[in-house]
Amino acid sequence: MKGLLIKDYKLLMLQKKTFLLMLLIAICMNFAMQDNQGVIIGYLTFFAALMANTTLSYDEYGNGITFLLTLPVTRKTYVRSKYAGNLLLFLFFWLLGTLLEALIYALQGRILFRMETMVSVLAILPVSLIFVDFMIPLVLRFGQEKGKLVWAAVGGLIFAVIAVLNALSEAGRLEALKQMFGKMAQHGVIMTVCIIVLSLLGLAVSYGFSVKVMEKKIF
Amino acid sequence: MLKLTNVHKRYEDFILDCSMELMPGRITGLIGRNGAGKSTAFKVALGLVRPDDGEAVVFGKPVEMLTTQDRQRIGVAFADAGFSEYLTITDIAPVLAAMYPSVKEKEFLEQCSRMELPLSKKIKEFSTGMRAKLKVLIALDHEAELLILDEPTVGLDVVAREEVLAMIREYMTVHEQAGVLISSHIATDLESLCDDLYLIRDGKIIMHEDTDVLLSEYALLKVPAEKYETLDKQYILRSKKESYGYACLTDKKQYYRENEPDLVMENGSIDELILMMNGGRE
Repeated sequence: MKGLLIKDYKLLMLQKKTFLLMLLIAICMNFAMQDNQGVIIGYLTFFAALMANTTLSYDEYGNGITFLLTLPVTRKTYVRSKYAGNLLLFLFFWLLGTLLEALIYALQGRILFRMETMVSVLAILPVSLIFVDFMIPLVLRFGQEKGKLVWAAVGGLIFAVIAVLNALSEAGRLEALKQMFGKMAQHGVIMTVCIIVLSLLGLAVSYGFSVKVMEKKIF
Repeated sequence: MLKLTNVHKRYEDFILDCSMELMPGRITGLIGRNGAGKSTAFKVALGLVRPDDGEAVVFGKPVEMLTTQDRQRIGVAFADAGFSEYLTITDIAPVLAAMYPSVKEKEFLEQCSRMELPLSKKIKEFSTGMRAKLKVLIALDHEAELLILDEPTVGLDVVAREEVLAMIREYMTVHEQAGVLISSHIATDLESLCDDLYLIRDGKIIMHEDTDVLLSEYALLKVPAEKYETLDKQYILRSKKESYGYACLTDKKQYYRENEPDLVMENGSIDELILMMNGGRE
């Protein structure tokens, strides 16, 4: 897997100008939106997760995956390398964004590492993970171009589900659920454990699906 | 070393139905026209295409059971697949070094330099010859015991073709027990290289013979029309209508030399053989 990760790193380095531009925009955004600490970190993290997927496009182009699978690489290793690469990249940019934010906070005489701000900063991680959970299997199954369309449809579906839940909530139909979440929120540890377990479960399901897609793929 | 047994794969407009074997220390050629099924057969041998029926065995194991260590013993070059063309040789070297214990980054780069391949240029800017040399070099660089080379000389000029073939010959001189399965639709490339040849047409192996036998025992008989009817056809493999009568392919040259001394006989070249096997009737 190390070889595949080096290859993906080399491919990502082809886009280093885009990464620098992204960083520059993040810094500018930071000064423009001083009170929205999560937005900048979220922007960097999501962008990184999106960029990580471009390595799949490079692999698709010119029968690259076919060739990679003739190397000492199993289909499972290929999938694993994509998840590892994506997670490493978005974690790196999340960390970079957080440090950048902390630095700017410090310059302004404020402190980022407080409970109320860190909750929104940490919340970016499971949300970004959802993006990875959907993106990798969709691109592997449908290809980069069709995958984007399906991803847009999935995004729309998630939005629709949220809208329906919102409507039900306003109509007072979700009181039991709200009470349960309310109780959980009072117990920060339980909430955190639930989020971590759900994130890992989502990742495992996504990985399992991606492996199945790759195992069935004909080159 | 590699064995395909009754491999059957059905596509919408094509069926692969073949058996073939590669022994250690031999170079086995697979010849056929474009679309005959050469690449599909190779992909089955590498586990990239799963057959509907039959079995592909490599190093004594079903191909789907090969471990990473087993795959390190295989070197592959495909005409239409490779590393991303946006990468350079300098980018690829550490990737190969991480994948194969026997590959040293520095040595690989030196090897590429010796082959006059630009190290810092993107592969997409390479000439066709450079790309072909790089692909074969990647297949050869890790002391592979089994080489699978799909059309390594396609689209190359005579000089570049000879360079690529020389790389393979040199490799076999040093690695006597290695086995090479190579395909081409240019028969002359394989005539001088291969120990035995398979001829594939429409997904089916229609002939398998040692190259020496092909060149020494096969011949093309030029039979006048009036003679054709009475000709002893027991050793005629294919015949084809020509302006002078019939061109007949035989695998018993000596028999016709002794029994039909008046017939014009041309020693079979692989190209003629392919033409006859593809176009002639049984």
